[in-house]
Amino acid sequence: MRPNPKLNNKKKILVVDDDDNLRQSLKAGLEEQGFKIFLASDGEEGFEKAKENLPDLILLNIMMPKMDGMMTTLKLKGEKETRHIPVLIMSGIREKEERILSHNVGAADYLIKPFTTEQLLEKIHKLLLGK
Amino acid sequence: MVEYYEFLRGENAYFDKVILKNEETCYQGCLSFIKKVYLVGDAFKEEDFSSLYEFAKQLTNKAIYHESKINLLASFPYNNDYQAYHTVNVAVLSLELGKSIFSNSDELVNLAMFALCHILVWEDVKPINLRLGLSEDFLKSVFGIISVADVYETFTHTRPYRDKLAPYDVLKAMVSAADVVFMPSLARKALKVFSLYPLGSVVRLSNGEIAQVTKLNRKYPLRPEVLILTEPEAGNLDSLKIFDLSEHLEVYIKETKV
Repeated sequence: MRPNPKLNNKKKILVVDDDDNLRQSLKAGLEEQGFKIFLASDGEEGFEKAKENLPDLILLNIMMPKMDGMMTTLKLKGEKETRHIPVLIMSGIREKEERILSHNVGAADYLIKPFTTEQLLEKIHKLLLGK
Repeated sequence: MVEYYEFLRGENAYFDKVILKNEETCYQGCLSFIKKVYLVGDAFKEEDFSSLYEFAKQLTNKAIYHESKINLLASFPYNNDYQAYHTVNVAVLSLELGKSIFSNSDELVNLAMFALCHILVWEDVKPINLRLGLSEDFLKSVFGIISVADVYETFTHTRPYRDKLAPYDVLKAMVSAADVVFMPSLARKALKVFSLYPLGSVVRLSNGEIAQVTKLNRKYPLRPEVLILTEPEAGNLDSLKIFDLSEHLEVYIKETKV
């Protein structure tokens, strides 16, 4: 997929996932699209990096050590500096109650793993452009 | 249900055991119903509606007349059938919160009905609301309450990928995020209603003793009645020491043990 010209102002995305391979492949794929990428490998690190770098969007896995993606989202929504940042939950959990919970803790959207680059970019564009 | 029996002592033991058994019958009935409904699939069946109403009515009566016992059941851990236990617990907690908002029992029964099937109807409430005919404002409050109960229940119970968190930490995170995530007044009400130290929670006191909360103190929520767990005399229920923290101001809860 070609970079979206409406997003060429180097939007910042924080990717929080404990899967090293997925983290690196998302970084490579999204940098190719022109995004500036920050990485974190668990919820606690993600929470700190979000406050430090104030990204435009956060991609967050649910099952992670130290602090899971749901609690990380809730805590991000509790911080003045990060509460406005949209959170996209990425998870292999298909159960409806997890999607409901992600909505209830303030996540903007939910993407079921495994996903294609096109599916991810569609969600990212929607959240960053508000479409 | 082992945890509860740790509270029992002396002449109240039989009475409490009987009452808890009644609560368990209601709780287990709801669990069986939920398991049956969810096993059938995603569509809520017409014939389930009358059962849903009956279970919602039973839960509402328990919430009104036997609040502490049914809430205690909802605080117990579970290791399987997450969806069913979670759903019934969300209904119990929603009623607890709903009691501080709705003034009549019909409204509470409607709240319980939606809570018991919230996973099925979350994206489309129309089919069930065609039967109930509830206003949009009422539904907004109902789902606001269920959201708060859903978040609180989930984080205070273990999931396969994480341990449970202390109610204190969960409520703190919920109140901080209240302005953007919940209906703000509801999250603050939850702080009062769910209690920072709910029944059954294990705490460390400032004198170093470990204790379990046995009775809430609505007026002074930080000072519940606790059962001292440190070194009880083996097998002797009468040797267990109950400590009312509102009468011993020199001792306070230092931390929650999860």
